[in-house]
Amino acid sequence: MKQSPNNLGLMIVMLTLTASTGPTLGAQGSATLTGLVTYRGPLPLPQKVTVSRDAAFCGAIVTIQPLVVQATSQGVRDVVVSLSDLSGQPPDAPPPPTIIKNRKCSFVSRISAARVGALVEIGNDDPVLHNTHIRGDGKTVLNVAMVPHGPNIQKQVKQPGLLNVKCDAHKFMQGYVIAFAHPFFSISDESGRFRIEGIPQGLHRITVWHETLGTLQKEVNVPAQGEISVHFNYP
Amino acid sequence: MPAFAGMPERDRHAVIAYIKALSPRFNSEPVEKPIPIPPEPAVTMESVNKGRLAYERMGCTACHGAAGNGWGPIAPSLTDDDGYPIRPADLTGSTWKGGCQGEDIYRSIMTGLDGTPMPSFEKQLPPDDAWAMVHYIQSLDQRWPGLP
Repeated sequence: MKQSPNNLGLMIVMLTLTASTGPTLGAQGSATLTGLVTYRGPLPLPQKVTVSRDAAFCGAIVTIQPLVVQATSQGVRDVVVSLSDLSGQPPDAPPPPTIIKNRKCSFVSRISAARVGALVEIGNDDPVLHNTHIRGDGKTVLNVAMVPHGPNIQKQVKQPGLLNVKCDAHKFMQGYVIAFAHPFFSISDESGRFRIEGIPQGLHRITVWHETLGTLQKEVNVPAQGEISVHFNYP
Repeated sequence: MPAFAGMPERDRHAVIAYIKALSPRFNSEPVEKPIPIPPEPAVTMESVNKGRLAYERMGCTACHGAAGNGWGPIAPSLTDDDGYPIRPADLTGSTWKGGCQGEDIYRSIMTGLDGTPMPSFEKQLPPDDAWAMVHYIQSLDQRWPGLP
């Protein structure tokens, strides 16, 4: 099943609803899901944006290319992979924080994933003022000034869903955080590969999401233990 | 949005309860702890000057402008949560949406204004600098009576 990026809001609602009605996650399993996400279509031209503020530091023109495909493997970087048929339980220990740095007038990482209950920690490595404005469902969740050399800001993730990260001072800065109610998610590396461990046995729906390519889903029968592999291909 | 000061208090509370029933967020999200607002120090020329430096250091000029008139260099690009253009507050004489008292301005600086590009400065600005900034912002208002 493929959905366009424009349907992502609906998709996230679907994920949320599924999470609230699906089986509740008990103890973690022993299986590992690995996989590869590839793209075999033509690469769109990168977007070039003229910088109107802090151009001396950010550069006069910023090049934006959300679709990064490795030439050898055709693997796609920054695809968020998750199980979408499980609801979660509160983690036994605090989940690791998700770090977002304002660095060279971009968000590093541009794409992040976090478990509900985790902290998102925001920092500014740049010598210019940024603000980090996070919205969910179009509503402000967090909007903090990030002055040069100022302290990091922490905010706890409270609900699953898609969060949009922007800087109002530099409109070309954009990123996403996807929050999950369970720990079964991963982000593909530069070769398009991903790995999710500790998956419970059973038939699971796997969802992959990319910022511009949209969403794909597959059902996978996960064994009690061992490793199972799955391949997603855009478009 | 007009003033409803004439509405009986009981009706006001009833309207508040009805409005809170319109969004599930009032039930699903815990209420954040209010930020502390320390007592306002005396308004002096020193605090106004200190506030000007903080205003510049925190980058307020980007939106509100060096003169505070709301025409900073990035003002034309700003939008609200619904994507509509929104102009930064004119600090030289416009209506204060968050309240015009010193504590109101202090709170707006420290919490930001959700739904707008105005961010929170709570973690970046020490309370004494925030109060100094309040005094400087008040001094930009054409109606400012001057130092006491």
